[in-house]
Amino acid sequence: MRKWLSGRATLLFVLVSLFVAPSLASGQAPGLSRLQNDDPNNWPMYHRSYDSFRYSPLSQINKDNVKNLTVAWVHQPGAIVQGLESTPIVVDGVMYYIASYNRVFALDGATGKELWHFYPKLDPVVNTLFFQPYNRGVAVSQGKVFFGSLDGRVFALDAKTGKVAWEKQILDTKKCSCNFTGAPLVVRDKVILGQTAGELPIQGKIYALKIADGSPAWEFNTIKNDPKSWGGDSGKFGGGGGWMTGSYDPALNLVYWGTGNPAPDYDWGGARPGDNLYTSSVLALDADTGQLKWHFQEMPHDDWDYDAGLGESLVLDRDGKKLLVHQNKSGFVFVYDRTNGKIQNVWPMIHTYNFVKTIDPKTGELIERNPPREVGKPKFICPWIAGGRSWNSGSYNPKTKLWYNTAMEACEEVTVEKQTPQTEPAAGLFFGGDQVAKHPPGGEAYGHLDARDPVTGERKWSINFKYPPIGSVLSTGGGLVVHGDIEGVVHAYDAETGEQLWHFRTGSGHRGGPISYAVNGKQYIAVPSGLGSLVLGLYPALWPEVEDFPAGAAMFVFTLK
Amino acid sequence: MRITVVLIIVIGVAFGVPAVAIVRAQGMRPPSGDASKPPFPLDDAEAIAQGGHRFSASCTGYCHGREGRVSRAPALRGKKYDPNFLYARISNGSPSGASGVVMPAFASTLPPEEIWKLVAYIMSLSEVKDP
Repeated sequence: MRKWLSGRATLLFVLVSLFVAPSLASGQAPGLSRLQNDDPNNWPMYHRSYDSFRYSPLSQINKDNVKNLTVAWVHQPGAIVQGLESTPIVVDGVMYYIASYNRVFALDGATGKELWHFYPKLDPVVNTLFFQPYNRGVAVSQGKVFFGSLDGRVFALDAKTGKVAWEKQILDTKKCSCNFTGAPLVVRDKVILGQTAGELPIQGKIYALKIADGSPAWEFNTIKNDPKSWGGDSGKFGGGGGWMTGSYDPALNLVYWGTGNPAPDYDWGGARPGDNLYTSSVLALDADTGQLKWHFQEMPHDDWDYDAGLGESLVLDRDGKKLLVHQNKSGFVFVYDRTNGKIQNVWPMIHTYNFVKTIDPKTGELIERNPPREVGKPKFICPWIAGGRSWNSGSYNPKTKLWYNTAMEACEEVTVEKQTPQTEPAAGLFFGGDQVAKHPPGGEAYGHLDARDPVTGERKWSINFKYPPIGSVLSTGGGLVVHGDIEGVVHAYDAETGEQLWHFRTGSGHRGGPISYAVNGKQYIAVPSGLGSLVLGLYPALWPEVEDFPAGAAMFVFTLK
Repeated sequence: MRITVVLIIVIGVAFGVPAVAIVRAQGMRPPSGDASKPPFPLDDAEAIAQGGHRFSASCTGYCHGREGRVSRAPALRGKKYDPNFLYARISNGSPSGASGVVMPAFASTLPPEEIWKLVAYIMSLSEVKDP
């Protein structure tokens, strides 16, 4: 195992990150420090901090007393369709969260008392969309709450009142059938978010708006204008987009964003000739201009819908190297030098894969690709379209130096079908095939939660689940790992050993992100409960009983007795 | 809960209640005029094949399962539906499913003929018996 930074160096790095680096960045606006992990009581952004660790340093609730956790309060958003997929934000004792149909709430973090709610009047076009009615999170900065809507708008609400400060129609949702479902990322004076596009015959983009008034700052088209990368007119229908939340390195002033898969998802041979840049790639964008600093395409000419749009990119330093650790949907983890995008390692979170023989850990090259190409003939592929992991995030604990991350060991039969892209009167789904979930050869599909070294992949412990988990993970300074399964049980584990120390049945499964925060010196753990997800539709083919797992939506908040 | 609508339709059909009345009772917009009449026999082999092609290309793995097998959305195999109910449901979707599963509306993206092909395909699944 490689040596980690010494404690002194780590402290220095933290201090530099917190106080020096922000001041080096140009055009700094008030409120940056709040987003820099400076107050352990807060959970100020989607992944809590720009490094996407999803780690709370709070330790009042710890391994010794977690058995005394009890429910402090529960809040229900009153909309359960597709469950509750979001991660809440807490700033100065106020919790902000978003539920299905873009219902936004501000609650007293100690009592759950509702301070305000905002139910936008959504365009009826939402009812025609594939990606709806869920949302994964809001962003909070400089007295405003930001979110991207199901009908293609970006909203800024007054954080004290819930009144609309501004709203901008960014996407032509009636035409593109695309929208916003991921949480925005605020970087200084800009709010950044990406659109859905990967299953649609459109060109997906990432947008930056000025947080003062919503005026456009920059946008990045994830479909490169290059006939070598997109043969014929295939780029017009190339999909991509950037539907989840990226990370940020203040010292380099680079935003790291994963992009969606190309459309159609499956290629019958000639559907989209070329490597299809910048789909299924990691982008490093200048936060001020949106200019591309570097990119790496994890799945050149993605044949499987293994996009790079999911979840976090850990911004991690080790042995003097500035690293970026990114989970690809294929189940492989890509480790980069985040200054230039050079591959440092590639390792698999999963054991069950046949889409390639392997991926070269030195170059990232896919070795012996196994694409489904034959029209009408089912092909057995692992992992399934839900991925080796879905968009839910892992958590990195800088004390244990372990990454707690989930994985899915499941396969599918893909049948490729030729399809003509439909753009009129509105964009239609553009999959180019169909799939049905299958168990792996010689065994049952399953999932697991692992504690691993994020750079080498070395595993310290692992816990198996019958049903692959799709909830995000929290780790804390109290030595806990918190994670909810799809059967409706939230677990707290010992971060060092994986021993279960506490569990609680919330009544519906987990797809969102648990967090921890403190109000008036008291620590809380918030767990969004509510089963729902597009990928859940794949499960009943393997486990018919999942069809009847109860839906729901409730924010459970726990504290010590 | 999610099969409530289907049950109501089945019971309604059994007792002679017109499907369009059932559709209205469920708060859905019924298909109107000529659009509610299939432009071809619903057992037309080519229409069924084309409907099946569109069905499989519309991400059924995530939704109704391949060839209408079990999923979080209703499984469609081996079930008898009123064609007007299917047409209305595909056209208008089910925007407020209490089951936690939502179905998009396709009326704005598919012309009536294409929706009827989907209806023909789903009707063709009614006699399928899985082992």
